[in-house]
Amino acid sequence: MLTALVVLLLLFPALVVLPMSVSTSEILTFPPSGFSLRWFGNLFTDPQWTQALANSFQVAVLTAVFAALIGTPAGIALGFRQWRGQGLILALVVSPVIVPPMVIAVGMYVTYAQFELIGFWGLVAAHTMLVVPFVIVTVMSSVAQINPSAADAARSLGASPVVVVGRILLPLALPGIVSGMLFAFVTSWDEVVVALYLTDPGFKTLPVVMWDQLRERVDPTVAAIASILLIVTVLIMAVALLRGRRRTRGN
Amino acid sequence: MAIDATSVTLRNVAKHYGNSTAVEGVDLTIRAGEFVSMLGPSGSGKTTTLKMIAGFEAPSTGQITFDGVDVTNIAPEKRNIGVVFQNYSLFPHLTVGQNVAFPLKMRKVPAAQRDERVARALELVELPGFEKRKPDSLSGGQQQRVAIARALVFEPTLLVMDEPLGALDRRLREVMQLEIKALHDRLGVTVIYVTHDQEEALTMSDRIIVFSKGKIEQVGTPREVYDEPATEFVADFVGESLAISATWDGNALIADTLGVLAVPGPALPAGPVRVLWRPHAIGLTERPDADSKDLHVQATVLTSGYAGGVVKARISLPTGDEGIVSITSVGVDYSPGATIDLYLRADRAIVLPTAAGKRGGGMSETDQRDDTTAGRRG
Repeated sequence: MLTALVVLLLLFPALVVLPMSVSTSEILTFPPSGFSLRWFGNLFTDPQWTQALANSFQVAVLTAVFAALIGTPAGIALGFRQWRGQGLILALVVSPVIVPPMVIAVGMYVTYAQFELIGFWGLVAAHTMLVVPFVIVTVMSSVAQINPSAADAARSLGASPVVVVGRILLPLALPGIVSGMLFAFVTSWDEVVVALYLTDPGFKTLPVVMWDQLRERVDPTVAAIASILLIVTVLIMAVALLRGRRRTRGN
Repeated sequence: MAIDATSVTLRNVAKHYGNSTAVEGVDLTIRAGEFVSMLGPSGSGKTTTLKMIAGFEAPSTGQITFDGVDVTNIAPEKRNIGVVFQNYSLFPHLTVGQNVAFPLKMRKVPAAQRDERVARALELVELPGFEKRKPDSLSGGQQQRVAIARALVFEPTLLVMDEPLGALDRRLREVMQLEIKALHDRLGVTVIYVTHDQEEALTMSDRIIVFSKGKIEQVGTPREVYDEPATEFVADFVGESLAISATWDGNALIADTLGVLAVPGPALPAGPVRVLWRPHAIGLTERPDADSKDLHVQATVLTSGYAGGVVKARISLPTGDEGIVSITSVGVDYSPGATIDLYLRADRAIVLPTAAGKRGGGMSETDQRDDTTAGRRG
């Protein structure tokens, strides 16, 4: 009973956008009145929204790719064998998760402004930094399952260190890389704090446009886009979780 | 698939990790085609030595040669050695066939030949037709057979095995011991086999190298190591024995309350010694002949337990020494506190100098790395 109450309390604010997004009312209200999909239509016709959707998608995809490129070698190095100073390095590379986003955002704004990096590539760089720890951690847990002598075995069978990484470690780390990329995508997709600082009027991501809209005029398009964000996020996390379940069962 | 064999020589090889010493002063020649076991407790340096032979660790000092060619600094993938690990180390994302084909792929063997050689290697380990299976669908014993097939398929001239049967249960271990021995006889490949199981080493090997605290204690055939142990450590570690502390004054062996022991004098400088008897040199009830020179000692049973067919009794000797004897004869009272008569054969006594600083001292705990570096995940 209590559990149900807690779940409701946690989920209600998120779920409330779903009925609001199909309201016929001109302003954002709860409970909604009537049923209409025109706010969703708005989303795909209004260039402000379509551009923001495209921007967010591009940033999130590139962020996930760069995070994988940086995080995978680090995750393998940190997860596969033990070495001196490993704990310290791990603490350092996952620190972006612990530092308050506002602090990172302000620091980045000041630094990136110097180099005129405000905009698309600046945001990709900033998001990559924020999500690299996710990839590192998921890759680490993937390679931690690999028997350390598998690498020695491969060497003894004639594989050079490069081949060991390519043929043995990377394939075995792949599930971790994919989960890490999914987390990275989702995080970038709905990140707003850093994005507020690093975007400009010519380039805005979806959460930033939503933020603007909520402050200016309150029509249910925001609820529609929130619903889409919610659904996309839930789907991606479900995929990530199911993959994880299948893997644990496989072992 | 008959295979040529490689001879292996280690010259004054040592391995240090920071301030601790894992292996020191190892001099060793392993002949082509020989089956040699490296035997010793955890942390004795046997696994470190094996890793240096395989190339996973570089010696701190010393030289390793294969057939006279220096390989000390050659990468493991260029040594052409088959290696079998305790934990199988199959690649879980590849099928059995792909696992066994891996070394052939690395050697760019054409695909057509590859399949045939994989099939032959799997037949050799009695797993024909297992190509399509995944390693995690196999039992431990089957996985280790696949690992052996993978280590042999490229016809290496040297096969090193690091406690390959350590993860298997006793019955399967015994079967696999015989199979590995049969493979060796059939292929003629040189085998270096690391184990901490003295029975395994005695059954399988042409020669045994006994390690303790990073050094070689003795090299010899199983019979030599058992019947003529070079040190007290070897006598303790390989097989059972009953030992009495005594003093050798150059003429006679004097053992506390037992007085002078009527045992052939050893070729040793005067000093404290241990006099040992293997189980087959200890009589329990049989009265010896009248002219027998056997030593008659009365021992007190401290504890005893039935061990299937025999009773193992921990006994105390009048000299204060304690030991374990196996009682196979009926009619011996082995309850705690009972006195039993031991007849120790004078001509089978082994006299060894007392190990200097036997308890504590030496290299103590510093060389525990040996088995811990192998992997934190067991």
